[in-house]
Amino acid sequence: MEISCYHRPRSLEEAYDLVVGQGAYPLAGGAWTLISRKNLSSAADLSDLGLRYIKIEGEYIALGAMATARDLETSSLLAEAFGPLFSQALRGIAGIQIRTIVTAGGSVAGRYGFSELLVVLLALDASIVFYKDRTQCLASYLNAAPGAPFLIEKIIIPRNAKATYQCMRQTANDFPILSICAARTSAGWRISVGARPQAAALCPQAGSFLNSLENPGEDGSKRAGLIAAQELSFGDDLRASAEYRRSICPVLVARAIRELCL
Amino acid sequence: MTLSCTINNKAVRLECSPGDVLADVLRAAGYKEVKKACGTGNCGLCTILMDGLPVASCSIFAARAQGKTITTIQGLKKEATELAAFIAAEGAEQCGYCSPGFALMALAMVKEFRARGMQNFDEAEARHYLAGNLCRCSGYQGQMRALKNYWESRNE
Repeated sequence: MEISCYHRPRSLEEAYDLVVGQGAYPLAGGAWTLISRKNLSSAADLSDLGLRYIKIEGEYIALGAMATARDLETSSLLAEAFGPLFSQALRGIAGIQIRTIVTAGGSVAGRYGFSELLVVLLALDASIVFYKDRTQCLASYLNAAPGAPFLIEKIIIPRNAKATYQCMRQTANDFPILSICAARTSAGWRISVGARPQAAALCPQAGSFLNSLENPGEDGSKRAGLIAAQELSFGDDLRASAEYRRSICPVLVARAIRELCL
Repeated sequence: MTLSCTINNKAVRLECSPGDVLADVLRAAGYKEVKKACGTGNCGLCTILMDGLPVASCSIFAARAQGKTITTIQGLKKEATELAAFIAAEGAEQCGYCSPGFALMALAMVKEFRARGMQNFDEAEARHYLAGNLCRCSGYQGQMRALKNYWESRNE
């Protein structure tokens, strides 16, 4: 691919001016950009902005936009807060060699349907902090149509949630056919489903149903799975049909809920 | 553009264009041990270490190498030669095309497992660690035996 004008900003302000002010393409990890092989008239490489971090900020854990999938997978901070959630969800992304490249910010910005990370972040009620003055919850970001250029500084996750992840794949490191995250947050249950194959989406009706129960149990878990499958849309791609995805959705949702209630 | 980086303990300068892939730039500069096949980061042939971390050099912009320390399998010649003897003893080298990436990844794995304090070879963890390195010939059984033997030889 060709990049006609390559910039390597040293500050967020400089990057903001390039991306938002001048329309330069923001290069995060760049792995998917390379596969897409599109030529870019102008690109801003975000690797020198000090955005590769995972840290506690008050009631949140902040993921710098350039934190890699491998960083998240092996983070002791995330493991302490959420158990094996991030490790289990992210270890299926290709090989370690790719997970050291792909970034949290790139995954969020790309709204990729296959993204395991988006499913987890959505269930955990994460928000995106855009440089320089805007924070938006991930759910509303994913529901909105792509708009004006933006620069993601970090993603913040409330620390008080517990969640589990389930997915089905054809092979261990392929894109998921369907991925699920079930979370219990301070505001109640949140069920997210990704790889539909569209980007991850919440299942509010399944969440409300679970909130009405004291303990979901076996029957409640199954019922919530069926509600989730009915309230979402699914599509066909080379990995699975919409019908197949709708069939396995209740099973995976119920498994995730049961695991969380153990 | 010109990149300044360290490759296999030598300071080098590489000429590239901003859109170039690191694997292509390394091979053009003579580092032919960096193989390239899928071009999408899925096969592991192009694995290098960048600042000590395994990276698919076919899936990262060459510009990202600026100021970095890069290690190819040639930079770990002594360790790789020792490991290769174990691989050959199990007949696991087969056609050999995946071997540079596989050996580099295996050595990175051993180093990381040691750093974690792992005492015994954990085949399940090893398979997970090496899942990004495909081999069309071996079926992986011989490779796993070779790695277990290599690991245990390090404990002696």
